Amino acid sequence: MSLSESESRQIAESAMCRVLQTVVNSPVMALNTDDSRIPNNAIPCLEGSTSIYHHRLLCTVRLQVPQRFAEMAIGLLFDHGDSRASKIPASLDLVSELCNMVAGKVSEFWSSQGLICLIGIPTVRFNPDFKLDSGRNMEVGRTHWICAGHWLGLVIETE
Amino acid sequence: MTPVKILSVDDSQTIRRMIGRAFRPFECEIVEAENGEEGLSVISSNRPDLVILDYNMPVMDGISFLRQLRADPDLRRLAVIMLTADSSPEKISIVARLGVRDYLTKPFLDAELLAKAGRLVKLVPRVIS
Repeated sequence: MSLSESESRQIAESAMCRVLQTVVNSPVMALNTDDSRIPNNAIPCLEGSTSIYHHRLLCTVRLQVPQRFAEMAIGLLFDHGDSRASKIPASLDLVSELCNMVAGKVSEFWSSQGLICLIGIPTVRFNPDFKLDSGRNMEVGRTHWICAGHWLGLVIETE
Repeated sequence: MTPVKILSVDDSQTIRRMIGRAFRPFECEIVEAENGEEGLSVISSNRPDLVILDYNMPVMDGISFLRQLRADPDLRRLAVIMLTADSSPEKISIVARLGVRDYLTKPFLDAELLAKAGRLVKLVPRVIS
């Protein structure tokens, strides 16, 4: 089972718009791959990753978010001025949950195709380089986004 | 008047805080648990009026939590709203069979959560002195 590039883009667009507009209450816009706002140097980011399982499918959702975006989103959500020490675990948790929500929307697509999937527990890591090591998975769809002035990346891989 | 007691069971601190924020304008006591096992332990000492329960959690997920809750005659009627990341009809039917009163798909707006909670418990606006 795999997604075409256009299916992957459509799913990504629907998922990112729904999740970010609801959680962060900011418009989100897809970027073309040649857009100058896509970082061309390595930038450190938080990368949330979760898998969607079915016996005929393994799909991985990776959401890449700059730390500053996560901190801004927490500020918008909870209107607080916590110290940086408490912002780091809160940022990790936020990215984990955003990734889970995006994976939920991707899983709904598979469900509409008759594949009832399980969603794994998301993990988050600091990624010093926004480039992805896609490992043995085939990268089907990488999309770039702007939300509240910050670049975000989303990859949906299927195997 | 005793405030409504709401138990939020979710491994995500972000979601627990969003739930706390949504109910802040009301006379509510919010208690929290990070997974189903911790949720059952909280219920045994601090019985809530409503449980807002995540579907997908480590240690003990929402379905296992519900099965244990429904097996206990004292707790089987406890009102539960399930939070899911995925609203596929099959998942909704699994939770409905376990007596979940309502469900909400993440991400959700405060107003959506309050509308569903307000049908199950009486939400009284907090008086600011």
